Amino acid sequence: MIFGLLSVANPEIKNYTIWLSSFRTVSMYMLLIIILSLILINTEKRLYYFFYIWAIFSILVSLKGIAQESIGVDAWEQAWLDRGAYKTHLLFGKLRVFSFLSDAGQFGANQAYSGVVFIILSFAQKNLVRKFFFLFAGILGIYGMFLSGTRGAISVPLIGFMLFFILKRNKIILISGAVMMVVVFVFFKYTMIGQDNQQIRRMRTAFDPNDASLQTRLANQRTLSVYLSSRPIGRRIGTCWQKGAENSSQFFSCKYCNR
Amino acid sequence: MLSSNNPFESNSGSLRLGSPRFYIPLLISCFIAAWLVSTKGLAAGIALIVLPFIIVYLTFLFQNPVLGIYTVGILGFVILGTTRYVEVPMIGISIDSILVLSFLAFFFKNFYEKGTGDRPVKMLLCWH
Repeated sequence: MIFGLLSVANPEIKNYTIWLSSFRTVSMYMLLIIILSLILINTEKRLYYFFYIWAIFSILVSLKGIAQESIGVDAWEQAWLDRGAYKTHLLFGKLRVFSFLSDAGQFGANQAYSGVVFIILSFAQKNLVRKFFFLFAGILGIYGMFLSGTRGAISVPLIGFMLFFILKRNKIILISGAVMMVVVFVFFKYTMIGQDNQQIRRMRTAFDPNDASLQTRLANQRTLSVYLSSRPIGRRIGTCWQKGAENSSQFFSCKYCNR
Repeated sequence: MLSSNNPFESNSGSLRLGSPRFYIPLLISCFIAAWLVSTKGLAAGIALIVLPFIIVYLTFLFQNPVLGIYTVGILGFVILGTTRYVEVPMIGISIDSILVLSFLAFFFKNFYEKGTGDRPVKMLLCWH
């Protein structure tokens, strides 16, 4: 929030409208939502209502993702892909599922996060219906993550579950959880099981230090670090936004946007 | 004199519509709606249809500010995908406005009460 406010004084800002629209999402939402949630969600019942809404939408997002994978995209989604999104969403003729969210990256991260939350939540439920509901939402979430082909998202369940096992402070759970994590890691890093499955093959490249995508990212990081060394408070917020890109396509750093 | 105390002497509910006092505003609003639809087109018509729902929602929101958080959660899922199907102008502002309205609702609801004390402030400090 403070960084966002102070960056209004960044001499590189040419257009204050873009600054304002980026400031909203970068700083304001975070502050407002945290304060409001802390004040308003103050009973267990309210918290569970929130979880139910989240779980229902998470299930819907996953189901839409599964439909995209098995049936295909509809006319509007195809139009969106044709406008340029196909560069990042059609890899080797295979669609990276994005459901009804903005892109596959967000779909993957969101579903991974929802999956971890709901699976952990289901462990703590005594009511069987509730337990299976959350477990169902969680498993669909993790499956959605694999469908999205977002490799960065796989660290979310790995680290999330590990932290949960550590916080549980139960030695048996911790040891069995650690063994499970090691098995998952070894499965991806050192074996070739299921290599003919597109999703598994793509996830596996996340563990490969010689992966071409990783090398490109590292090269980009090196280039940008030189570029940013003369700009101690950064380029400015909102440079890479769609609106920002229209107005500032001449800027060097915009080349490195993933959007 | 007596009639004001006797419930059978005064009209209530839909019976009130029998009086021209209630007909005139109804007719005026009909004319305004018709004029808006004819001059501004379909968008104005849709806005007029949606308007009562927005008013009902806002009433609930001001009675129960926690609705704002739930709505933002739902909008977060829905908004980005919606823009792929229909062009809704200023749709991004809806999240901002609901957050601000929730704040206002909370503020007005707790205006005359002791409120939540300094618990949220302490929690916020812990969070950051």
